Amino acid sequence: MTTVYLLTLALLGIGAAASLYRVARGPSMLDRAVALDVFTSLSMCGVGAFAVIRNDYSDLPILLVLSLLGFVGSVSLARFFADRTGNPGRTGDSGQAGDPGRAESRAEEGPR
Amino acid sequence: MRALDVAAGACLLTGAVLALSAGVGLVRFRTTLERMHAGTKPQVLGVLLVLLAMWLHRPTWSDAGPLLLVGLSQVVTVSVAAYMVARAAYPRQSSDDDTGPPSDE
Repeated sequence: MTTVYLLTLALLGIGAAASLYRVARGPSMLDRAVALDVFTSLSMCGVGAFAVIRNDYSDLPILLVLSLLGFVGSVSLARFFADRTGNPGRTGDSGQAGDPGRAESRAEEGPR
Repeated sequence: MRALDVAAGACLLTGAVLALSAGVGLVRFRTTLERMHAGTKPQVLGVLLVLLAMWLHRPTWSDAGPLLLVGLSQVVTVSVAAYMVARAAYPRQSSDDDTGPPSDE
């Protein structure tokens, strides 16, 4: 049974490393949103696996919080980067610093 | 109890393999929509299998309630989040696809 547990943790670690690689390398911010969602779900799997291994189920609220946290993070990133449809990755990465100011100025320009 | 432990270990291992497949698909696929396709479905199934393994490890009703709540919220929220991401990702990708001349299709 220890082998099964170790193999489970190893597979989850490899999956988390792959999703973190996509977070670091993602061409657009939506890729990073998807990868962060996957990483949150992977940490949920890790918390569940540790709860089974240690036979201690006091971590159950953490699972609920992580689920809602991944939902809010992914939806807010998707809403925030929804209106930049004109430059699909050609003018460089669209997720650098200074973007909130640009988004606000664009929102202010809208009604004029 | 022994058979339940074996089933819990099998569910845990299958869930980990599905989570690994989600990570590998996230790295290997090329566009955002393909990555989203890889990142939602095996991921949700992996989480549900891990929750099932948790319940099989300790099959009591007091643990089944929070586990069901977590699984239900995961199914609902991941589908909604994937819808939002796809709605944001589809225009740029489709405009990218439509600019070029028609290929072999």
